[in-house]
Amino acid sequence: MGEKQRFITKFLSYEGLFDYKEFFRVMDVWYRDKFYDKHERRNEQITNPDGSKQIELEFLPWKKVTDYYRLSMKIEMSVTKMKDVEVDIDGKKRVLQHGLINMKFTGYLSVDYERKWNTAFQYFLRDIFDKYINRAITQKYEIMLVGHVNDLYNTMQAYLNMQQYRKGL
Amino acid sequence: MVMGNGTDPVMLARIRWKGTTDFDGLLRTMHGWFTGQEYDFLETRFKHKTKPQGSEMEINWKAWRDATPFLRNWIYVYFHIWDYKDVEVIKDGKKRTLGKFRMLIDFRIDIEADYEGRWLNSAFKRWLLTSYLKHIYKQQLDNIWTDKLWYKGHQLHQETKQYLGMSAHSDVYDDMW
Repeated sequence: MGEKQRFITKFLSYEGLFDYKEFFRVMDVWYRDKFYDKHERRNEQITNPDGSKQIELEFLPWKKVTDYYRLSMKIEMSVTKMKDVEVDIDGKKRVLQHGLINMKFTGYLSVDYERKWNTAFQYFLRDIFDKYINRAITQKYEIMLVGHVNDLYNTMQAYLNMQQYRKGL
Repeated sequence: MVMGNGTDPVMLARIRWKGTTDFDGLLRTMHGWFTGQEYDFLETRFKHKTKPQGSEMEINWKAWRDATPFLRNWIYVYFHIWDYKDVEVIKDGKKRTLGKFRMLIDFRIDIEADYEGRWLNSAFKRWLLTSYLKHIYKQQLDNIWTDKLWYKGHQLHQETKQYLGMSAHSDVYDDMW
């Protein structure tokens, strides 16, 4: 019986201009840089009669750090009232998107993800081992997970904040 | 994720979409991907129901490819379409008939070991096969073959999104395997 524990949850909300494809790509590049496997579990897109789009996504990237520990994230994202707008950047016309983005980042640490310690007694032993004997290693991965979630959150926030300065252009 | 029994497909991705597109073109594109990747292909179900608000369709596909003489890759696709109506649009100055509908697409993958059934004719052989998959071959099955199929399925998912004009599309993982 493996165990999956939630360690961190962060929220991000933004309304304004952004390049949606680039935003999506920045996120993918981050996963790949950190050696996460990609899992795009849900992707929903609705085009409204007024031409605006409504998008909902759920990502579950994961990374096996050892045969015993696995880091995983759940990123829920919703984009509403997304419309294409044409802006002038450095004398060049570009099509960007304007809309409202809401994101939720959750970080999970899974132990014994291969479910090798299945019985109640094994589970007890495993828990004692994780909490008292192997505490330093477990803690190392907990800190790594929190660091990764914060890093992704900061990367996305930095990308969106950067876009704000283009508003007036 | 460990696979190998060929009976329990793993959910890879789900697309929900609403809009106007050429549905036949979508099916052709996806079928073309399977053909290009040398998959054998079977449409196991095509259900069509006419309703006042538009047709409802359910389609099941399964495609398989022998990765090695021991392993077979399976990809399952399930389409569910609601409120399908033909609409006429003018695109690039030409009149075209497209479909306006809501759709759900599920992508599932699986790996079947010993698809020729060479290890199934005695209890001892079955035990050997199970032990081999569980202990000796597990790492290779999980880290190479499952990973490869995962990203192949992901390619099909990306291609589908691209055809549907979905905004959330990126090529960052396209060169995996």
